[in-house]
Amino acid sequence: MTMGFIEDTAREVLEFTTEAVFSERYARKDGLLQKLDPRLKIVSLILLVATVVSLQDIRVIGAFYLLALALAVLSKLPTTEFTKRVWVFIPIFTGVIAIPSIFMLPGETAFKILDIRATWEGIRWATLFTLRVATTVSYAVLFTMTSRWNEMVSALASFRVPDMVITITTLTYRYVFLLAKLLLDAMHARRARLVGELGMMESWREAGKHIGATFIKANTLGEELYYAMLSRGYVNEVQPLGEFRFDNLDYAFSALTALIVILAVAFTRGLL
Amino acid sequence: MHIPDGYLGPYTCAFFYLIMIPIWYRAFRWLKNLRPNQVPLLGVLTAFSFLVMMYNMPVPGGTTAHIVGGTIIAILVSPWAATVSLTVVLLIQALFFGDGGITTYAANVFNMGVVLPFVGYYTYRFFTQKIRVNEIVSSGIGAYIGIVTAATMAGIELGIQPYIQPGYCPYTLSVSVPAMAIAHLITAGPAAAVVTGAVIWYVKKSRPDLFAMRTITKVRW
Repeated sequence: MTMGFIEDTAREVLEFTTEAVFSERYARKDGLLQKLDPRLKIVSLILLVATVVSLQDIRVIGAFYLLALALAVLSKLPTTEFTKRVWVFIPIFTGVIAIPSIFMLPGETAFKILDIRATWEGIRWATLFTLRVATTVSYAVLFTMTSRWNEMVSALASFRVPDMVITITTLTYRYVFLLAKLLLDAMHARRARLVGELGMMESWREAGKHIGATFIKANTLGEELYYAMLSRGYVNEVQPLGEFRFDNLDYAFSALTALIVILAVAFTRGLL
Repeated sequence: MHIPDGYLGPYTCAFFYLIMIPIWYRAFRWLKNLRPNQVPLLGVLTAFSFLVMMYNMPVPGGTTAHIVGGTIIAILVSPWAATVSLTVVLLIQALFFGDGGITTYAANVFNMGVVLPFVGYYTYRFFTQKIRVNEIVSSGIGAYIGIVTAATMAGIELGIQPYIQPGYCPYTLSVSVPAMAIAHLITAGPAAAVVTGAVIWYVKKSRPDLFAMRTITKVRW
């Protein structure tokens, strides 16, 4: 076992952040969600996900999943990539939890494998759980793929999130990229001088040294950054990106979200 | 250890948002103790813990585990700094990387941003001050106990779901707690201990002055 894992992770972080997040490829498209006011987008995301989490009816959750797919199409996201991002991890993580429960929950027998009994109750539960997780993940992915970082941070600022937190969030986002690069450079330098393979404990210790070195660099950077900011007129507060304006599309979308949430709640309470 | 949306029912999620309100209030008030030139530093340190968390380390059995970096920040700066950092890291992960969840955000911050750094830090303090074990070993023990406690906490949150409402995490405490605790006792825990110990050793050796960072803030220790 070599230090390969550290290197792989640093490279993955770099590739993922540049590709998926920094390039904001889909966020620049001219689709429905991209046009919405970022504040509305955050509120709708929270409302929709919270509704899906509290629902118990498979049909209603299914409808919410279809709605997410429709929104993806309207936002001009490539359907295959969108579904792939949602479903790639679900069988691995959720499947591990959901499948055994098919055989564990008491109820009427659906089928038997050898002597192990699967119940309808178990199947119903596993479907409900998997579909719910997939739906909430879909909304999160929709949001991620159609949002631009700067706008989101400004939206958070307009929700009265403390200034200090906004500053820290912005800096974090910027510096993850730089630190990953510094770390990768250090790894390459170390690797070029490494003969033979490292054991697991050794690789952990090596990781510790690199993380320690990164911490020290991060520290120095932090100070330099402050003076750089100061010399450019930083007065301990962030200026928001300018005012957001609610237009007709935003009003229509808020009305739609509210309607969907009310309908879903009314339906599950048996009011419809 | 990130609990995704759909694993915890609405009551549990709401409960953790309620618990986190006073904790966030206190943590953000702590930020005022920082001198202005330390704010960018905390930003860079948060980026640091973000990066550390993305390190999937090889562990026996072919799987991977990640450490949180909460104990490192807690020891080098302050447990409150770790709470603020993890609040920001988990927010970015939930919103932009699809890691963790939106409804479970508060529960995740509670486990990784409150339980982990505070347990890790006070264990470290107990071992250095009461038992007089050296700092490097104590930091390793702190990181180990911190991550295992946080994982057990996550196990408890998942395990109480069947008693509250059906349709969420299906396993009772007798399954979820051992599953989470054992995984961290034998995999992520030792990795966190070795890495944290190595970080503290390395920082102490090459930049002992950084340990004095605690005294830069106006907080009493």
